[in-house]
Amino acid sequence: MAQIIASGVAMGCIYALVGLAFILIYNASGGLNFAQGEFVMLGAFAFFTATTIQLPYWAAVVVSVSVIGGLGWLFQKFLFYPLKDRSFLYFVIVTIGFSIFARNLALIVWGPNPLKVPPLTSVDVVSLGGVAMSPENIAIICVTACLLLLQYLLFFHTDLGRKLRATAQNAQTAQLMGIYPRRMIGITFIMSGAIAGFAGVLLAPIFLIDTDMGGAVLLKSFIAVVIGGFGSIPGVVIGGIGIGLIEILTAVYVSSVYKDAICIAILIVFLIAFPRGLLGEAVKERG
Amino acid sequence: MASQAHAQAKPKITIGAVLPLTGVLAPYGKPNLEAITLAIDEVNKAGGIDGRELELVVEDTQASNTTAINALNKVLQSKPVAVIGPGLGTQILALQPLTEKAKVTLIGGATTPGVTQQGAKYYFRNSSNDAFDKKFVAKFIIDDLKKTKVGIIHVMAEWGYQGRDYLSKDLKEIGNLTPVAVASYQPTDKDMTAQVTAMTSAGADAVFVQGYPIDESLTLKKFNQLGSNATYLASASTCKAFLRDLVTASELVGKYCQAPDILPTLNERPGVKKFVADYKQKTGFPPDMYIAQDYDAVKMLVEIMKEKGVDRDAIRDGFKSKSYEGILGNYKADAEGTLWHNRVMMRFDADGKVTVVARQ
Repeated sequence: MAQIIASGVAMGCIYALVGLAFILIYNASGGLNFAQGEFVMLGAFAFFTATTIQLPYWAAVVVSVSVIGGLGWLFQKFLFYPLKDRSFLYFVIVTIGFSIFARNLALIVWGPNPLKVPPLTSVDVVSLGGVAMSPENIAIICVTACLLLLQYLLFFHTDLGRKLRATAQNAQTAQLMGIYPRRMIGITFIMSGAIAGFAGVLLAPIFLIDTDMGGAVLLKSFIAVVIGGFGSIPGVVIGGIGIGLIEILTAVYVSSVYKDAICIAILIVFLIAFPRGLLGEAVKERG
Repeated sequence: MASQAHAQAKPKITIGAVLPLTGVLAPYGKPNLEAITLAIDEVNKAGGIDGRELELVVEDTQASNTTAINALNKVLQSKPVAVIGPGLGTQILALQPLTEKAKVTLIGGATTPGVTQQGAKYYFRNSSNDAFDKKFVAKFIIDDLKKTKVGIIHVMAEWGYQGRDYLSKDLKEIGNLTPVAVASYQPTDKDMTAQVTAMTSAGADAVFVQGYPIDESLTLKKFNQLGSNATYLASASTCKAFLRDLVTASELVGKYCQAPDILPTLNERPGVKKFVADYKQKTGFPPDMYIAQDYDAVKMLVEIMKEKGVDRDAIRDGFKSKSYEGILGNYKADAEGTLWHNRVMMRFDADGKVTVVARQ
């Protein structure tokens, strides 16, 4: 049982990380970025390239995360900003288009065969009280915890965080207070891209890299966001870990055939009965 | 000079190819296309067929049956003499009605038994039939490994479902065994903890996995990570994964892989050695058995056209009756249209060696 819970938590942390990248953009711009999974995928491919040119492991991580963070900024500049005054639907359609473009671009650049990166350590398995976990899974849990702590410190204990929150709550009022909303939104897209890139780096050694790897996590991450409540950072963590656990417990104790159907059913139930999710304060405040 | 001009004036012979070249199924099409073009280039270099060059018309099926149908419709407009199709049962099932209607031979390596049970007269499988493969696996598990508690993990696709059903049926018929556990997963699933745990909880002493290269690799890694003591056997996808470095030799120690033939990289037949070298030079990576079989399919088609001409029905009749010696071995159609009838079980050993432990 402990093994099952540990695996569920590790997967849940991935959903939480991608969900976090998702809601950062939602909070800052009100847009839903359905290409978030492809940012994860491109992060993994960037990490592969960085390791093949013999960069040290840590440098490969930094380069990959930076590249995808930069891609986030470009995404904001060329795809989000021109559409910012139009219906949110335009941006959603563009993100879906970008996801198809990114997958096929990756196919051309890196080829159709799945790729592998070196493992995080030479140790295959770490046993903790009878629970066998890969070092990568442990890293996912630790990195998620660290990133959440950093997010908290950034948003609530720095001047930049206050500006970001002000922009998220009301961009026009923030501008009247001397904040540059466009700059803040740009920073948010960079952060969102970097987090998704980090998720790709973490997933690369355990998922194997292919053009579909982002799609595998996007849907569950979106469910995590809905469960947690759109805009809520603690909510997405609860939602992510919750969906990770539901998924694995269903697969073990009900049937692996129904696990995705049950996750989708939960999404529908939340959308109908609990549209604000578990901790949807941000949505309420925006109301 | 005049004869060269005369040869150039001769109309080309069009061969169609509909394969997944983009999207998630691209690993099952793009590498095969390289082998097909390699074969066609060789034939053209050697003068073509009676001085007529071969021309390949290629369309992308992507990961969708609808796209596959559109791709085939486009290819059929070029009036091909035959079409090389994907090694994916679900796409072959979608394409068959069109090739039957157009009366054009479709050749594809889908081992899924159902594709040759539709009564298609113009479809030929240039690989083995998984119904016989699974009988071979069941026999190996029962007679050679002496296992009695078999678990099955499979992908939720036609290939996985039919593999599960045939293996379950054969275990029952040969050893009166019922699988102690059956677990499945979506092709996009990445965490196999639940599936491997289900096998351990049921006390399986042997586990057979039938999926695609990525998910079989992830299952193998999880199997090792969770320290399962059961004997691990898997479909040819694990061999593909090994050739693509998705799993290492050390991860595979003591594991078994069932395939239509041994890894081409280990095959000592001169034709295979040359093909492996040429393919590696062209693409940078080694071919698997299915890729070599697509190369053989083109060469068999060429031999048939040399003997019987380029009429579509003559080509169909040629595939029905011809016994062809390809680089991998002999191809001869059975009543269902399966051309390849060999299968092997390989074991990966500690020193990186791969041993064929059973052959049929």
